[in-house]
Amino acid sequence: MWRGAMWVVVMLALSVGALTCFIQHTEPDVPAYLRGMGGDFTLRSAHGPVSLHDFRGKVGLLYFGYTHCPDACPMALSVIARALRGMSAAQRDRVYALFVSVDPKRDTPEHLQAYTAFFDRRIIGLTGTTRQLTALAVKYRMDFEVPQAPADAAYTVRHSRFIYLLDAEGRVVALFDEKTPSARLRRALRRWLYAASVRRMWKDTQGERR
Amino acid sequence: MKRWILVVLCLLPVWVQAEEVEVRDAWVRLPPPVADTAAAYLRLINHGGRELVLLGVRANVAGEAMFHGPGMRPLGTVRIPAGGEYRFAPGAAHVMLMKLKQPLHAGDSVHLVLRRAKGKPIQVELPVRDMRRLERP
Ligand SMILES: [Cu+2]
Repeated sequence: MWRGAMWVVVMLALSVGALTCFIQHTEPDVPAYLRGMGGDFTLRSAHGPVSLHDFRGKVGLLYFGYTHCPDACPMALSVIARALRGMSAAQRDRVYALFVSVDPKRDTPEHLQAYTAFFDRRIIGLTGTTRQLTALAVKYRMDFEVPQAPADAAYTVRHSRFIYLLDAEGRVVALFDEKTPSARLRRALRRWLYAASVRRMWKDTQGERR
Repeated sequence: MKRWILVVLCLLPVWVQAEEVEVRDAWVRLPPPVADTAAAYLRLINHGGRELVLLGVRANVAGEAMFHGPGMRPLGTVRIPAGGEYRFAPGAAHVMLMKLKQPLHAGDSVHLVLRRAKGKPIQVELPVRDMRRLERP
């Protein structure tokens, strides 16, 4: 009788250990320099405010740019669009993509939406006040510089060109750029989607045991 | 006979220019219809015996055009040493077309005039390409 109970306990401990080990290994490694980078925000889209926490449970891509950018931004948005298109509908439902304009003087949310739709309708265009964007830049360790010029002047904006991959908790877990092959980006998205579902299953079983 | 001489004389400048500066991989990235900027790319190969100095650029489709280095830094002049080449390529330097006069379409042709310090301007015809479906650049 006691021996039987002991066996049950040992087996349970072993399976929990194995599962924990399994879960840890489904989450790809996150480079140390990305820890603590990023964080929640709320910005304006053509359909009202959008917050990062709205996408909890989904895996996302985030890119900072502006619509008067004819080289890096179209390249990055094309890579993102191609990565999304190559996924199954079920996978795409659990993925989101955000294009944040650091040039609110010229890029209204409506203009941004028309711009991103050219690449893929699923890419959401966002912007905010200079203050909000500056705070965001600090969080995401991103550099940008909008010159003091009137909106109708043909000025250019300097900006970092990272494509951030955000996990289901909204944490920055990997960086890419406009020269990343879309297949590589898609692979990374799938890997983090898988990690998210394993994590969710694990949480569900934890809930049941309590 | 006279006519032939005339034809040869007319073709001579074209031939000289083609010999001296070769243009390759010239194209314009199709921007979204709502954008009023576009990037043009080309490779300039200087076969001449002298340095080629480009002072500026004009485009028939744009109100303003200029040379941009990587990261959108304006370049005053572009210098191509004798026997050397310069690449305006995706993710690097490009010819920045601003204040587009109308939305571009895939297959359109853009005309660039590159002004040089010495000699005739270089005329280039570039096709507009829709890069959304293509993997790189
Ligand atoms: Cu530029």
